[in-house]
Order: sequence, then C-alpha cells, then structure tokens
Amino acid sequence: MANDREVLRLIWEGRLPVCFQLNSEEVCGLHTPDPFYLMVPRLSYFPLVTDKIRKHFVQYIHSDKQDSEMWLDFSGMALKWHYPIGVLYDLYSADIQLPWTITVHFDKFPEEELIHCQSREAVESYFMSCIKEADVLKHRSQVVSNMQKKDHNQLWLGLQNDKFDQFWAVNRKLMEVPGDDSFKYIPFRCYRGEEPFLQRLIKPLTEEGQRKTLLNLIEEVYPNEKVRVTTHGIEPPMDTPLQWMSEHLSYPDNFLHLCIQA
Amino acid sequence: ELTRPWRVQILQELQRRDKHLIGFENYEKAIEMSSWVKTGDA
Repeated sequence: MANDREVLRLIWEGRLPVCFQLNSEEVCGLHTPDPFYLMVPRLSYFPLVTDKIRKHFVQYIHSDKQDSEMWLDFSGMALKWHYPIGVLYDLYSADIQLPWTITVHFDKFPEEELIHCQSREAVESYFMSCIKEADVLKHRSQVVSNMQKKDHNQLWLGLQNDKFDQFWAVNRKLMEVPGDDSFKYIPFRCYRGEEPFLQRLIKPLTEEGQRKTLLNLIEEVYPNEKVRVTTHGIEPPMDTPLQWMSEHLSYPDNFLHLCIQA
Repeated sequence: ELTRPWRVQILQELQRRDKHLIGFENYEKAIEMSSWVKTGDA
C-alpha cells in the first residue's frame, strides 16, 4: 500500500524551470520574441502545459503556419510528448543546465521521430491506456475495470490540474494489494538514450518469496552490465524493494520510468 | 520502513533535488487552478 505520504508528496511536487524559445528560422518579421519562462511539473506532459507557449509565439510566425502543430526540441532532439516531462529531463540531464532551454517549432514536423498530438484528448487517451496496461500487469486488470467513468476522469483531472489529493483519492485503489503483499508484475519502462524503451515481465518477489530489489530488476533486464538508474532526478539505492518503488516512485500512469546510464 | 536506509536516502535525495529550484521562484507556474475543476454528465 502506498502509504508513505512524505515521499509521494515530494514526487508529486517535482518541478523544472524551462526557458522556451522560438526557433529563430521561423521568426517572421523584424522582432524576435522574448523567451517564455515556465515552471512545469515533472509528472505532467508537455501538451498539458504549453498552451501559453503557443499563444506567446504564434503571433511571430508566418500566418500559413499559425494552425500547425507545435513541437519541441532540446539540442536538436525532438521531445516525445507522450513521455512524462521528468523522464525527458532525466534522459538528457547530463547535457542540461537549469533553466532547461527548449526550442519551439511550428514547421517541419519530424514525422519519423514524433507521433502527432492534435489535442489534449490524445494525451488523455494515451495516459488512460498506460494506466490500464499497468493494472493488467499488477492486478490482471481487476481494479481499473471495476472503476467508474468518474474515477477515470478524476485520475485524469487530478493530473491535468496538478491536484494531489484528487488524483490519489482514486490512485490509491490502483496501488492496493488485497490479500497479497505484492503486485503480480511490476509495471516499468527502461530508457536508454534514443533507443525505444524496454519492458519486461518482472515479479516483485523471488521464487522463494523474498522481496526483489532494483538491483534484481537491473540484473534481469541488463545482465552482465553495470549501469546507473535515475528516476525523478535521483538515483534510488539498488537495495530499494521493487514493490515499494512501484507504489511510491511510479509516475501517474502507474509505470516506473527508469533512465539508464552506463 | 520509514527508517530503512534506502528510504532515508531517497527522501534526502528528493529534498536535495528540489534545492536546485532556488532562484527560479518567480517563474510562472504552468498549471494554476484555484479549485477543483468539475466536469460530469447530468
């Protein structure tokens, strides 16, 4: 049961200062727009926090492009909107100084690198599909399928509006382990550079019933490699139990997102 | 579990992480909602 409220609060309140600037090649006219500075939640997704960015920059680009889909890059790498913001930061953090400077584009959408996101509904749909997938892994889908539509809405609105209590009032049900001490499998994704993320079926307990740790997970996913693991901007100790990690360090989509460095 | 070394270390690292935000307090918050937003079907 995710009952360590002190940790849950700190995870929820993770923030990043970002400096958004318009791609200089897209500036139309004599005036270059000022950068736009914003404090963004690590747990959110860029399309949920960039309405103001679009409004700020759209008046400075060519009128033909003003209805185009906005996309972002950091240091030449297109930022995947369907990764939580904190994951994107942790992936590139070795090269980032705060504030994190991100370039805003309205032109030349990188079709090969990004999927389209025309609206918040696309983010909601993706977010809910992750929650459902995580529940399949943890509870054979028994929790999420017994929820009502209003519970699904409350999860989404809690994330969208940055409301911890609203979100956790429902999310605690997804973190329960009735009758057992652990989930069936641990929902996690491992990220390494530009490679697609990795997922494996990993149980939180050994065959003997002992609690597995982060080290056990790493040994199963990356055998014979010595790697560092970052999540939420920290390196959790390798002896942290997986079940506790899943309950306390998962993102709102109910997955652990682990950034791997050699 | 509150006193387990791994939990204490995680807590300390999270607190240390947030010290990097000192100096950026005047940044506009991306999400500012004064109360719950309620939607629903009648």
